[in-house]
Amino acid sequence: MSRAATCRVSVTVNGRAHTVRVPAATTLLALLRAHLGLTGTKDGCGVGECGACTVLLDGEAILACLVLAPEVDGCAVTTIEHARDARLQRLRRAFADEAALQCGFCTPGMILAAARLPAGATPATIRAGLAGNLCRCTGYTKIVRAVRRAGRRRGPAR
Amino acid sequence: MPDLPAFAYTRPCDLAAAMAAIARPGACIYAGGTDLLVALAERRPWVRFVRQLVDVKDIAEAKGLRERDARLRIGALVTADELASHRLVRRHARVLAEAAEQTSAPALRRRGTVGGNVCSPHPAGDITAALLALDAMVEVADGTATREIPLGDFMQAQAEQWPRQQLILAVTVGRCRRSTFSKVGIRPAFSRSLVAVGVVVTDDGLRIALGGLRDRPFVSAAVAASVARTGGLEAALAAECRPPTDGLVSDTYRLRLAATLVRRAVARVGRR
Repeated sequence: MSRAATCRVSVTVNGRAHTVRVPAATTLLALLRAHLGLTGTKDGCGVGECGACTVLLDGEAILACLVLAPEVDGCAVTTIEHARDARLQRLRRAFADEAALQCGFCTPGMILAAARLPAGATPATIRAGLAGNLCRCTGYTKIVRAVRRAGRRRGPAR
Repeated sequence: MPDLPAFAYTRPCDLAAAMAAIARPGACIYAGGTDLLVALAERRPWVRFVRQLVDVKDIAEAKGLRERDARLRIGALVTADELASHRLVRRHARVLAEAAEQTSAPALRRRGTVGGNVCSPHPAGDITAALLALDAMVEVADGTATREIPLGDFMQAQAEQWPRQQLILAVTVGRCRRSTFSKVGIRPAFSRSLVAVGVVVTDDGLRIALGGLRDRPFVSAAVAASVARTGGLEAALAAECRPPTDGLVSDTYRLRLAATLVRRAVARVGRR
Protein backbone atom coordinates (compact mmCIF):
# COMPACT_ATOMS: atom_id res chain seq x y z
CA MET A 1 0.00 0.00 0.00
CA SER A 2 2.84 2.35 0.68
CA ARG A 3 4.89 1.72 -2.47
CA ALA A 4 6.83 4.79 -3.63
CA ALA A 5 5.62 6.51 -0.50
CA THR A 6 8.74 8.64 -0.35
CA CYS A 7 10.18 10.70 -3.19
CA ARG A 8 13.50 12.32 -3.95
CA VAL A 9 12.93 15.96 -4.82
CA SER A 10 15.53 18.24 -6.39
CA VAL A 11 14.36 21.81 -6.32
CA THR A 12 15.97 25.22 -6.65
CA VAL A 13 14.71 27.58 -3.98
CA ASN A 14 15.69 31.24 -4.19
CA GLY A 15 18.56 30.33 -6.49
CA ARG A 16 19.94 27.55 -4.30
CA ALA A 17 19.71 23.87 -5.25
CA HIS A 18 18.38 21.38 -2.70
CA THR A 19 17.81 17.64 -2.87
CA VAL A 20 15.64 16.05 -0.17
CA ARG A 21 13.80 12.78 0.35
CA VAL A 22 10.28 13.37 1.66
CA PRO A 23 7.03 11.40 1.99
CA ALA A 24 4.96 11.71 -1.21
CA ALA A 25 2.14 13.17 0.86
CA THR A 26 4.14 16.35 1.58
CA THR A 27 2.96 19.73 0.37
CA LEU A 28 5.36 22.27 -1.09
CA LEU A 29 4.50 24.36 1.97
CA ALA A 30 5.69 21.63 4.35
CA LEU A 31 8.77 21.05 2.19
CA LEU A 32 9.72 24.72 2.49
CA ARG A 33 8.94 25.17 6.17
CA ALA A 34 9.70 21.83 7.81
CA HIS A 35 12.34 20.32 5.53
CA LEU A 36 14.22 23.41 4.30
CA GLY A 37 13.62 25.64 7.34
CA LEU A 38 12.24 28.48 5.23
CA THR A 39 9.47 29.67 7.52
CA GLY A 40 8.89 33.01 5.79
CA THR A 41 6.13 31.36 3.75
CA LYS A 42 3.21 31.27 6.15
CA ASP A 43 0.99 28.34 7.00
CA GLY A 44 -2.50 29.83 7.23
CA CYS A 45 -5.55 27.75 6.35
CA GLY A 46 -3.80 24.91 4.52
CA VAL A 47 -6.78 24.47 2.19
CA GLY A 48 -6.33 27.22 -0.41
CA GLU A 49 -8.55 29.86 1.12
CA CYS A 50 -6.21 32.51 2.56
CA GLY A 51 -3.23 33.05 0.22
CA ALA A 52 -0.69 33.24 3.07
CA CYS A 53 1.45 30.50 1.48
CA THR A 54 1.71 32.12 -1.98
CA VAL A 55 5.10 31.47 -3.63
CA LEU A 56 6.40 31.60 -7.20
CA LEU A 57 6.69 28.20 -8.88
CA ASP A 58 8.66 28.55 -12.11
CA GLY A 59 7.68 32.22 -12.02
CA GLU A 60 3.95 31.76 -11.41
CA ALA A 61 2.25 32.78 -8.15
CA ILE A 62 0.61 29.66 -6.70
CA LEU A 63 -0.43 28.35 -3.29
CA ALA A 64 2.23 26.14 -1.69
CA CYS A 65 -0.40 24.32 0.41
CA LEU A 66 -2.04 22.93 -2.76
CA VAL A 67 1.07 21.67 -4.56
CA LEU A 68 2.78 18.39 -3.73
CA ALA A 69 6.53 18.23 -3.09
CA PRO A 70 7.11 15.51 -5.73
CA GLU A 71 5.55 17.82 -8.33
CA VAL A 72 8.25 20.47 -7.90
CA ASP A 73 11.12 18.11 -8.73
CA GLY A 74 13.23 20.03 -11.26
CA CYS A 75 11.41 23.33 -10.66
CA ALA A 76 12.44 26.74 -9.34
CA VAL A 77 10.65 28.22 -6.33
CA THR A 78 10.87 31.82 -5.10
CA THR A 79 9.85 32.69 -1.55
CA ILE A 80 9.85 35.86 0.53
CA GLU A 81 13.38 34.96 1.74
CA HIS A 82 14.89 35.60 -1.73
CA ALA A 83 17.37 38.35 -0.88
CA ARG A 84 18.60 39.28 -4.37
CA ASP A 85 15.30 39.53 -6.25
CA ALA A 86 14.97 43.25 -7.11
CA ARG A 87 11.17 43.16 -7.40
CA LEU A 88 10.82 41.55 -3.96
CA GLN A 89 13.28 44.07 -2.52
CA ARG A 90 11.15 46.95 -3.82
CA LEU A 91 7.94 45.39 -2.54
CA ARG A 92 9.36 44.69 0.93
CA ARG A 93 10.62 48.29 1.15
CA ALA A 94 7.30 49.72 -0.08
CA PHE A 95 5.27 47.62 2.40
CA ALA A 96 7.43 48.99 5.23
CA ASP A 97 7.30 52.59 3.94
CA GLU A 98 3.51 52.51 3.56
CA ALA A 99 2.99 50.67 6.88
CA ALA A 100 1.09 48.10 4.85
CA LEU A 101 1.28 45.46 7.53
CA GLN A 102 0.25 45.07 11.11
CA CYS A 103 0.68 41.49 12.31
CA GLY A 104 2.59 40.63 9.12
CA PHE A 105 1.20 37.14 8.68
CA CYS A 106 -0.31 37.80 5.25
CA THR A 107 2.61 39.93 4.05
CA PRO A 108 4.83 37.23 2.44
CA GLY A 109 1.84 35.94 0.47
CA MET A 110 0.75 39.45 -0.51
CA ILE A 111 4.26 40.31 -1.72
CA LEU A 112 4.68 37.11 -3.76
CA ALA A 113 1.19 37.53 -5.30
CA ALA A 114 2.07 41.15 -6.13
CA ALA A 115 5.47 40.21 -7.56
CA ARG A 116 3.98 39.02 -10.86
CA LEU A 117 1.68 42.01 -11.41
CA PRO A 118 2.70 44.46 -14.15
CA ALA A 119 4.78 47.35 -12.82
CA GLY A 120 2.25 50.04 -13.79
CA ALA A 121 -0.80 48.11 -12.53
CA THR A 122 -3.87 50.18 -11.65
CA PRO A 123 -5.47 49.83 -8.20
CA ALA A 124 -8.23 47.73 -9.82
CA THR A 125 -5.69 45.35 -11.36
CA ILE A 126 -3.82 45.13 -8.06
CA ARG A 127 -7.02 44.35 -6.18
CA ALA A 128 -7.93 41.66 -8.70
CA GLY A 129 -4.43 40.19 -8.48
CA LEU A 130 -4.54 40.09 -4.68
CA ALA A 131 -8.16 38.88 -4.48
CA GLY A 132 -7.03 35.50 -3.13
CA ASN A 133 -4.95 36.94 -0.29
CA LEU A 134 -6.72 37.71 2.97
CA CYS A 135 -5.54 40.32 5.47
CA ARG A 136 -7.33 40.61 8.80
CA CYS A 137 -5.53 43.75 10.05
CA THR A 138 -4.96 46.61 7.64
CA GLY A 139 -8.00 46.67 5.40
CA TYR A 140 -6.08 46.45 2.09
CA THR A 141 -5.88 50.18 1.25
CA LYS A 142 -2.28 50.48 2.40
CA ILE A 143 -1.40 47.18 0.76
CA VAL A 144 -2.64 48.42 -2.62
CA ARG A 145 -0.78 51.68 -2.05
CA ALA A 146 2.44 49.78 -1.28
CA VAL A 147 2.18 47.66 -4.42
CA ARG A 148 1.65 50.81 -6.52
CA ARG A 149 4.63 52.46 -4.86
CA ALA A 150 6.84 49.45 -5.56
CA GLY A 151 5.71 49.50 -9.19
CA ARG A 152 6.67 53.15 -9.56
CA ARG A 153 10.16 52.66 -8.19
CA ARG A 154 12.86 52.04 -10.74
CA GLY A 155 16.07 50.16 -10.09
CA PRO A 156 17.00 48.37 -6.90
CA ALA A 157 15.71 49.45 -3.50
CA ARG A 158 17.67 51.74 -1.26
CA MET B 1 -2.29 23.20 8.44
CA PRO B 2 -4.13 19.88 8.33
CA ASP B 3 -1.65 17.20 7.29
CA LEU B 4 -2.32 14.88 4.42
CA PRO B 5 -3.07 11.19 4.86
CA ALA B 6 -0.25 8.96 3.59
CA PHE B 7 -0.32 8.12 -0.11
CA ALA B 8 2.11 7.20 -2.85
CA TYR B 9 2.69 9.36 -5.92
CA THR B 10 3.36 8.44 -9.51
CA ARG B 11 3.63 10.55 -12.64
CA PRO B 12 3.15 8.46 -15.79
CA CYS B 13 4.69 9.91 -18.93
CA ASP B 14 2.11 8.73 -21.44
CA LEU B 15 -1.53 7.70 -21.76
CA ALA B 16 -0.92 3.93 -21.74
CA ALA B 17 1.08 4.17 -18.52
CA ALA B 18 -1.57 6.44 -16.98
CA MET B 19 -4.39 4.03 -17.83
CA ALA B 20 -2.43 1.15 -16.26
CA ALA B 21 -1.74 3.23 -13.14
CA ILE B 22 -5.36 4.35 -12.60
CA ALA B 23 -6.60 0.75 -12.94
CA ARG B 24 -4.79 -0.22 -9.74
CA PRO B 25 -6.85 -0.38 -6.53
CA GLY B 26 -6.59 2.81 -4.48
CA ALA B 27 -5.41 4.88 -7.43
CA CYS B 28 -6.82 8.38 -7.86
CA ILE B 29 -6.28 10.78 -10.76
CA TYR B 30 -4.46 13.95 -9.76
CA ALA B 31 -4.25 17.07 -11.92
CA GLY B 32 -4.57 20.62 -10.55
CA GLY B 33 -5.17 19.35 -7.02
CA THR B 34 -7.22 22.37 -5.94
CA ASP B 35 -10.15 20.14 -4.96
CA LEU B 36 -8.48 16.81 -4.28
CA LEU B 37 -5.78 18.00 -1.88
CA VAL B 38 -8.38 19.87 0.18
CA ALA B 39 -10.60 16.78 0.27
CA LEU B 40 -7.64 14.66 1.36
CA ALA B 41 -6.55 17.17 4.01
CA GLU B 42 -10.08 17.31 5.38
CA ARG B 43 -10.52 13.50 5.27
CA ARG B 44 -13.70 13.70 3.19
CA PRO B 45 -15.47 10.34 2.81
CA TRP B 46 -15.17 10.21 -0.98
CA VAL B 47 -11.37 10.11 -0.85
CA ARG B 48 -11.07 7.39 1.78
CA PHE B 49 -10.14 4.87 -0.91
CA VAL B 50 -7.08 6.85 -2.06
CA ARG B 51 -3.72 5.10 -1.65
CA GLN B 52 -1.89 6.49 -4.64
CA LEU B 53 -2.14 9.70 -6.63
CA VAL B 54 -1.61 9.37 -10.38
CA ASP B 55 -0.40 12.75 -11.60
CA VAL B 56 -1.65 13.07 -15.19
CA LYS B 57 0.01 16.42 -15.98
CA ASP B 58 2.39 14.85 -18.54
CA ILE B 59 -0.31 13.23 -20.70
CA ALA B 60 0.08 14.82 -24.13
CA GLU B 61 -3.49 13.95 -25.20
CA ALA B 62 -4.90 16.04 -22.35
CA LYS B 63 -2.90 19.18 -23.13
CA GLY B 64 -3.51 22.24 -25.24
CA LEU B 65 -6.40 24.02 -26.88
CA ARG B 66 -7.01 23.97 -30.62
CA GLU B 67 -9.65 24.06 -33.35
CA ARG B 68 -10.77 20.72 -34.77
CA ASP B 69 -13.58 20.27 -37.29
CA ALA B 70 -15.12 23.69 -36.54
CA ARG B 71 -15.10 22.86 -32.82
CA LEU B 72 -12.72 23.77 -30.02
CA ARG B 73 -10.92 20.88 -28.38
CA ILE B 74 -9.96 21.95 -24.88
CA GLY B 75 -7.47 19.61 -23.21
CA ALA B 76 -8.49 18.44 -19.75
CA LEU B 77 -5.28 19.93 -18.33
CA VAL B 78 -6.06 23.45 -19.57
CA THR B 79 -6.33 25.70 -16.51
CA ALA B 80 -9.04 28.21 -15.71
CA ASP B 81 -6.47 30.96 -16.22
CA GLU B 82 -5.65 29.71 -19.72
CA LEU B 83 -9.36 29.43 -20.58
CA ALA B 84 -10.00 33.00 -19.46
CA SER B 85 -7.29 34.49 -21.65
CA HIS B 86 -7.18 32.17 -24.68
CA ARG B 87 -7.91 33.93 -27.96
CA LEU B 88 -10.02 31.09 -29.40
CA VAL B 89 -12.13 30.79 -26.24
CA ARG B 90 -12.72 34.53 -26.04
CA ARG B 91 -13.76 34.63 -29.68
CA HIS B 92 -15.77 31.43 -30.07
CA ALA B 93 -16.93 30.50 -26.56
CA ARG B 94 -17.05 33.72 -24.61
CA VAL B 95 -19.38 32.27 -21.95
CA LEU B 96 -16.54 29.93 -20.99
CA ALA B 97 -13.89 32.65 -20.84
CA GLU B 98 -16.18 34.80 -18.68
CA ALA B 99 -16.94 31.88 -16.34
CA ALA B 100 -13.26 31.02 -16.03
CA GLU B 101 -12.13 34.56 -15.26
CA GLN B 102 -14.73 34.89 -12.49
CA THR B 103 -14.14 31.57 -10.82
CA SER B 104 -12.23 31.25 -7.54
CA ALA B 105 -9.05 33.33 -7.06
CA PRO B 106 -5.96 34.02 -9.20
CA ALA B 107 -3.55 31.45 -7.70
CA LEU B 108 -6.19 28.72 -7.87
CA ARG B 109 -7.12 29.61 -11.44
CA ARG B 110 -3.50 28.92 -12.41
CA ARG B 111 -3.83 25.34 -11.13
CA GLY B 112 -7.47 24.27 -11.40
CA THR B 113 -8.16 22.40 -14.65
CA VAL B 114 -11.10 21.90 -17.00
CA GLY B 115 -10.97 18.15 -16.38
CA GLY B 116 -11.15 18.61 -12.64
CA ASN B 117 -14.10 20.97 -12.96
CA VAL B 118 -15.98 18.47 -15.07
CA CYS B 119 -15.30 15.40 -12.94
CA SER B 120 -15.98 16.95 -9.55
CA PRO B 121 -18.40 19.78 -10.27
CA HIS B 122 -19.77 21.84 -7.43
CA PRO B 123 -23.51 22.52 -7.41
CA ALA B 124 -22.78 25.96 -8.78
CA GLY B 125 -19.68 24.98 -10.82
CA ASP B 126 -19.10 28.03 -12.98
CA ILE B 127 -17.01 26.37 -15.69
CA THR B 128 -19.29 23.34 -15.82
CA ALA B 129 -22.36 25.57 -16.22
CA ALA B 130 -20.67 27.41 -19.10
CA LEU B 131 -19.72 24.11 -20.76
CA LEU B 132 -23.31 22.85 -20.42
CA ALA B 133 -24.59 26.02 -22.06
CA LEU B 134 -22.19 25.29 -24.93
CA ASP B 135 -23.51 21.71 -25.21
CA ALA B 136 -20.00 20.35 -24.60
CA MET B 137 -18.90 16.79 -25.28
CA VAL B 138 -16.45 15.01 -22.97
CA GLU B 139 -13.66 12.95 -24.56
CA VAL B 140 -12.86 10.06 -22.24
CA ALA B 141 -10.18 7.37 -22.37
CA ASP B 142 -11.66 4.15 -21.06
CA GLY B 143 -9.43 1.10 -21.14
CA THR B 144 -7.82 1.23 -24.57
CA ALA B 145 -10.68 3.07 -26.30
CA THR B 146 -11.58 6.74 -26.47
CA ARG B 147 -15.19 7.88 -26.66
CA GLU B 148 -17.17 11.11 -26.62
CA ILE B 149 -20.12 11.63 -24.30
CA PRO B 150 -22.43 14.64 -23.91
CA LEU B 151 -21.42 16.49 -20.73
CA GLY B 152 -24.90 16.17 -19.21
CA ASP B 153 -24.83 12.38 -19.58
CA PHE B 154 -21.29 12.23 -18.27
CA MET B 155 -22.29 14.19 -15.14
CA GLN B 156 -25.31 11.95 -14.60
CA ALA B 157 -23.09 8.85 -14.76
CA GLN B 158 -20.58 10.47 -12.40
CA ALA B 159 -23.31 11.23 -9.89
CA GLU B 160 -24.59 7.63 -9.95
CA GLN B 161 -21.26 5.91 -9.75
CA TRP B 162 -17.84 7.40 -9.96
CA PRO B 163 -16.03 5.47 -12.71
CA ARG B 164 -12.49 5.67 -11.44
CA GLN B 165 -10.88 3.85 -14.31
CA GLN B 166 -11.53 6.40 -16.99
CA LEU B 167 -9.59 9.53 -17.75
CA ILE B 168 -11.01 12.74 -19.19
CA LEU B 169 -8.79 13.82 -22.07
CA ALA B 170 -10.66 16.88 -23.31
CA VAL B 171 -13.94 18.67 -23.71
CA THR B 172 -15.07 19.86 -27.12
CA VAL B 173 -17.47 22.70 -27.82
CA GLY B 174 -18.98 24.13 -30.97
CA ARG B 175 -18.16 27.69 -31.89
CA CYS B 176 -20.83 30.22 -30.99
CA ARG B 177 -21.01 33.85 -31.98
CA ARG B 178 -22.92 35.20 -29.01
CA SER B 179 -22.77 33.99 -25.42
CA THR B 180 -22.29 35.31 -21.91
CA PHE B 181 -21.94 34.26 -18.29
CA SER B 182 -23.35 35.89 -15.18
CA LYS B 183 -22.94 35.01 -11.53
CA VAL B 184 -23.33 36.35 -8.02
CA GLY B 185 -21.42 35.16 -4.99
CA ILE B 186 -21.02 36.61 -1.53
CA ARG B 187 -18.04 38.52 -2.93
CA PRO B 188 -16.42 38.57 -6.37
CA ALA B 189 -13.35 36.45 -5.63
CA PHE B 190 -12.96 33.22 -3.82
CA SER B 191 -16.54 32.51 -3.02
CA ARG B 192 -18.78 29.90 -4.53
CA SER B 193 -21.54 31.23 -6.77
CA LEU B 194 -24.96 31.54 -5.16
CA VAL B 195 -26.35 31.39 -8.68
CA ALA B 196 -24.50 31.09 -12.01
CA VAL B 197 -26.06 31.50 -15.45
CA GLY B 198 -24.61 30.68 -18.87
CA VAL B 199 -26.45 31.81 -22.00
CA VAL B 200 -25.60 30.81 -25.57
CA VAL B 201 -27.43 31.96 -28.71
CA THR B 202 -27.82 28.94 -31.01
CA ASP B 203 -29.46 28.58 -34.42
CA ASP B 204 -32.56 27.28 -32.62
CA GLY B 205 -32.75 29.99 -29.98
CA LEU B 206 -31.31 30.38 -26.50
CA ARG B 207 -29.57 27.64 -24.56
CA ILE B 208 -29.43 28.42 -20.84
CA ALA B 209 -27.49 26.56 -18.13
CA LEU B 210 -28.06 27.27 -14.46
CA GLY B 211 -25.78 26.64 -11.46
CA GLY B 212 -26.53 26.74 -7.73
CA LEU B 213 -30.19 25.82 -8.17
CA ARG B 214 -30.01 22.01 -8.04
CA ASP B 215 -27.43 19.54 -6.79
CA ARG B 216 -25.43 20.21 -9.95
CA PRO B 217 -25.53 22.62 -12.91
CA PHE B 218 -28.16 21.82 -15.55
CA VAL B 219 -29.60 23.03 -18.85
CA SER B 220 -33.22 24.16 -18.87
CA ALA B 221 -35.15 24.36 -22.14
CA ALA B 222 -38.22 25.52 -20.18
CA VAL B 223 -36.34 28.50 -18.75
CA ALA B 224 -34.94 29.39 -22.19
CA ALA B 225 -38.42 29.21 -23.73
CA SER B 226 -39.96 31.33 -20.97
CA VAL B 227 -37.69 34.35 -21.29
CA ALA B 228 -39.86 36.11 -23.86
CA ARG B 229 -43.16 35.61 -21.96
CA THR B 230 -44.21 38.18 -19.33
CA GLY B 231 -44.00 36.56 -15.91
CA GLY B 232 -43.02 33.30 -17.56
CA LEU B 233 -39.43 33.27 -16.32
CA GLU B 234 -40.30 33.25 -12.62
CA ALA B 235 -42.78 30.42 -13.12
CA ALA B 236 -40.32 28.39 -15.19
CA LEU B 237 -37.53 28.85 -12.64
CA ALA B 238 -39.82 27.85 -9.77
CA ALA B 239 -40.82 24.70 -11.65
CA GLU B 240 -37.32 23.76 -12.81
CA CYS B 241 -35.17 24.55 -9.75
CA ARG B 242 -34.80 23.10 -6.30
CA PRO B 243 -32.63 25.78 -4.73
CA PRO B 244 -31.19 25.15 -1.29
CA THR B 245 -31.64 27.37 1.73
CA ASP B 246 -28.27 27.43 3.46
CA GLY B 247 -26.25 29.56 5.85
CA LEU B 248 -25.87 32.18 3.13
CA VAL B 249 -29.27 32.84 1.54
CA SER B 250 -32.77 31.38 1.26
CA ASP B 251 -34.26 29.38 -1.61
CA THR B 252 -36.57 32.33 -2.44
CA TYR B 253 -33.59 34.67 -2.67
CA ARG B 254 -31.80 32.27 -5.01
CA LEU B 255 -34.84 32.07 -7.32
CA ARG B 256 -35.19 35.85 -7.53
CA LEU B 257 -31.46 36.19 -8.08
CA ALA B 258 -31.66 33.61 -10.87
CA ALA B 259 -34.44 35.57 -12.64
CA THR B 260 -32.39 38.76 -12.45
CA LEU B 261 -29.22 37.10 -13.72
CA VAL B 262 -31.02 35.34 -16.59
CA ARG B 263 -32.64 38.64 -17.69
CA ARG B 264 -29.33 40.50 -17.52
CA ALA B 265 -27.46 37.78 -19.40
CA VAL B 266 -30.10 37.55 -22.12
CA ALA B 267 -30.07 41.34 -22.53
CA ARG B 268 -26.26 41.28 -22.76
CA VAL B 269 -26.11 38.60 -25.48
CA GLY B 270 -28.77 40.59 -27.35
CA ARG B 271 -26.37 43.52 -27.55
CA ARG B 272 -23.45 41.42 -28.84
